[in-house]
Amino acid sequence: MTRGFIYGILPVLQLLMLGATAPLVSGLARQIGAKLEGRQGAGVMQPYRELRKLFQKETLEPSTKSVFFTLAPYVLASSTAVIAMAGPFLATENSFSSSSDLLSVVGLLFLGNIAVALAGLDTGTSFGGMGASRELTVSSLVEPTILVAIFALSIPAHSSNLGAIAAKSISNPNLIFAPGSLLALAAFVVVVLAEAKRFPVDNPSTHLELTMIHEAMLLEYSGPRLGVIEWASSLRLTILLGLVANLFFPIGLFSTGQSPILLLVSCLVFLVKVLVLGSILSFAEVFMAKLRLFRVPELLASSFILALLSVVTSYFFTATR
Amino acid sequence: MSELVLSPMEAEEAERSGGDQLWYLISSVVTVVIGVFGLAASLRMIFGTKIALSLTSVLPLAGLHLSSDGLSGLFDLITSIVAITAGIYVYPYLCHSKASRTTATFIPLFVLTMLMVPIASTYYDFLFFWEAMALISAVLVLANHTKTEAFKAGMWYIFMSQIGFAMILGALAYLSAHSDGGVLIGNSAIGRTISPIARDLVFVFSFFGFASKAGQLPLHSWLPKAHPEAPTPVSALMSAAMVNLGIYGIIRIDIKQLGAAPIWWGVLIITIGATTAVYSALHSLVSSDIKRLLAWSTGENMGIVICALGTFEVLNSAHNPDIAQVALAGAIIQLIGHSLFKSLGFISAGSVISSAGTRSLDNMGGIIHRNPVAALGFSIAALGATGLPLGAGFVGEWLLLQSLIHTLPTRSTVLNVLMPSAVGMLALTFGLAVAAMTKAFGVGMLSRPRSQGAAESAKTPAWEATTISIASLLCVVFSFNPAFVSKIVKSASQATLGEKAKGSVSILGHITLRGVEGSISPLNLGLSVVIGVILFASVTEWRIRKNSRQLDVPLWACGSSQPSAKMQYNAVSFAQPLERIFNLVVATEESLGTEHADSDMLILQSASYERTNSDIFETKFFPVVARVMSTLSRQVQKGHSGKIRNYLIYGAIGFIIVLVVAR
Repeated sequence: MTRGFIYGILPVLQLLMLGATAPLVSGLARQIGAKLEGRQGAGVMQPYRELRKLFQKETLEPSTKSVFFTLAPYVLASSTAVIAMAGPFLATENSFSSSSDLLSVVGLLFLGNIAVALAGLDTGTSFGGMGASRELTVSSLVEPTILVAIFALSIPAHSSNLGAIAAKSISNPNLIFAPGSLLALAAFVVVVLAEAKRFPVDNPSTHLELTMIHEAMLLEYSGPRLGVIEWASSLRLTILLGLVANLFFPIGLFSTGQSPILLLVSCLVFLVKVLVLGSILSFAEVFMAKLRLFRVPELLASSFILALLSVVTSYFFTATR
Repeated sequence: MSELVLSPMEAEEAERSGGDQLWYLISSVVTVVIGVFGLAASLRMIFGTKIALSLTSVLPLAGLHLSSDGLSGLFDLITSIVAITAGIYVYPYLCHSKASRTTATFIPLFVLTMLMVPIASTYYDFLFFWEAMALISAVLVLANHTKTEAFKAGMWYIFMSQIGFAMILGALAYLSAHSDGGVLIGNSAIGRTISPIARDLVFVFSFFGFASKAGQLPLHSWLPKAHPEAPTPVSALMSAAMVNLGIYGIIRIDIKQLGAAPIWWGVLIITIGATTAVYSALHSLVSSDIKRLLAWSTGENMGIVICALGTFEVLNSAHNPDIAQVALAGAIIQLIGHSLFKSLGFISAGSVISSAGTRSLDNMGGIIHRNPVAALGFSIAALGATGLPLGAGFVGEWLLLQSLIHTLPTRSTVLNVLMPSAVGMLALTFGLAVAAMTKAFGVGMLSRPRSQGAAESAKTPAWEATTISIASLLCVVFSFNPAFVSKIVKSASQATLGEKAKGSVSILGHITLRGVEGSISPLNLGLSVVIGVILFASVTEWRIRKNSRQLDVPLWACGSSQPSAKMQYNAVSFAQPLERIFNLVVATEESLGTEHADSDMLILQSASYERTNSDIFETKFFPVVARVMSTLSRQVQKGHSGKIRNYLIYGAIGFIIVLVVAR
């Protein structure tokens, strides 16, 4: 009875857990970055305060907007929330895991990007179009790389379901240190930086329109809608870090059948893993410069090649079932 | 008063156009009726009895023989559905474009020949209807032959379809001679009864011939030229129904008739399909003409289908029938999905084109405000073409990916290198297709109008709106629940593989693969995203209304005055970064010309910018072929001395050869 109940309620638990801690992850990353740069920093709780502020502010709506501008933040938030519910973040399997297939997760990430890019184009400003064009340039190279890199993991697991991949790695830890997985990890880390709109691809805190990618598309947003986008962006960062953590280091994942107390442990383990990865991210960012836009494809192309190599290696080294 | 009295000439004109209108209406109605009959017949082929009809006196020489199996049913079903939606659109389109009566007459004929190809039961009938279909569609492509572009496109089309036909004719004539009475449908595979070399040759010729019809490299270049130039309902029919018949040919002849294949056949098929997919996706991305962009996207989707068929061939010849069936189901579902979203795409694009008066995305914009039905219809089609979740192209790509994961049939090095490359190319295609469709929709339908025509474009007439709504509804139902095609997929796989195919894919809201792990539910996925959007929207919009909001705020322009519509990103600038990255393939040539007002060249008077993308196959590959051909024909020319006795000798030699062969 409890087993079925936990299995059924896990998606909601995951969403609540990830949704609540997502601002903390980006707050911690910002705070560490500030300290390393010798600044005081606004504290790890700053993203929560910003969200509260945005949800109380007035909304300004441009005259040229259409329904796509209005709906884009919600499509971004909803597609991200579905990944948070389905993915293997706290447990390898839950009642929603059929949607945590590789293609659907990549597709949902992409869907969110497109929604925002269309909103950027919708209002008809130069900056919105510029941001949309750059965003699509980056994501149309990033998403294939994510697809191919995780594909390399799904060949030994004989399944493209992310939960099944994580479960397979838990039962057979040798898979994690297979050459294919290590290559895939290298490729995946690079694209996670690009997908999360971080250095060296994009600068999340820039105020110069010409250097923006993600922010340029959001220039016309204000008030609660901007708040939804900000929240969804930090949730995406958490999800991506969570995927790195649980696909390549799948320790502490809950599996249905264990006692419910272990679920609390897996929550804690997940939080620690994501916060550690977030700190490493912000630590590394301090020592990186942002790349010129036309240098970015070189970086992404090399990670695509790495991902492709990882698939080739997986094909060669995986034993036939 | 005088304005009300028509001059004799005007009266004649009005009468003529009134007569034309009736003609157009008849054409439209007949097309729809043929579609409805086709639908009924194809459903009977799939769910009920097989059709068998022999009329010896109808066609000269061999007579008309029709029969059917699940495969015929599948392709006729797709064609009929496209014919019904495109058929409704025929009337408003012809009225708007004032097309000739020839065009109006040939559209229903085109649909009829397309419906006959899959049920032609002998090689002879198949070739007859195949060629009839090619010729009738050529007439339709040439409908606007007074335009140079359209004329050229028509010529390319005729040229390439005849080369393709010659190859198919050669291959099928050989097969027909070695088959049991020239029967195509219902005959067992005859691959084993002919010599291996002949079998390989038949495969190569027929595959390239059929692949050309599906817009595959290297004989692809007719597709992006002819589809945009044809009248829009014809573009929809060609892109959503005719190209499918190329796939039908490959399944019927190369997979079914030739039987178990050596592994290199599959390798060749995958290579052609995957290369075409990436190549077409890139060209689709850099196209600024909305119809051309859709046409390239057709080549790309057919590339994915052919890649799935190649995977099927490889897995089947490596004795992995369970997984092979997954690949086949992927091909079939991708085919159905593509036909649904592509016909919708062309019809809504056609509506936008006639209301805005331009085909160029660079002159569109703001359609969502003026013509919302067409813009929303196009958005559903574009979502399908991206292959993202919630779109009609998602499940097909998922199935193909599943079959590639479960691969590893043999320890073959070729496959271990080929399969990852195919995965990489498909992934890249996926990314590029999304960029292309975002551009088409974002630049064309959203944003501010970039031309007078777009700013003043009219609302969709009710008739067109009906067509678009029907096609959109079909598309949405298919994307959320592909359940209702499971029986069709099963009967088509059984027709391909024999009765051993027990429908490895059960599609009932939840798609679960049989024999291999893997399941997905597009319905769950789609509904949860939609419910999520509704929840987030209602909470946030309630908050926004509570907080107060200001409408009609000026756009952000770094503090300067309102940016003009020309300052927006357009189709060219949107694709420019990716175009620069893939410059090697899309071969962009830019030229900047400046004119100066003074002799010191300090004051600029005018500047011009030109940019072209070329098809590298057209600029690099075809000229080489042409050179080889002309060298060869110069050699042949030497034999043409003009003396009668020489020709008599040639004739005698030819006759002896015929006697030896036909002995």
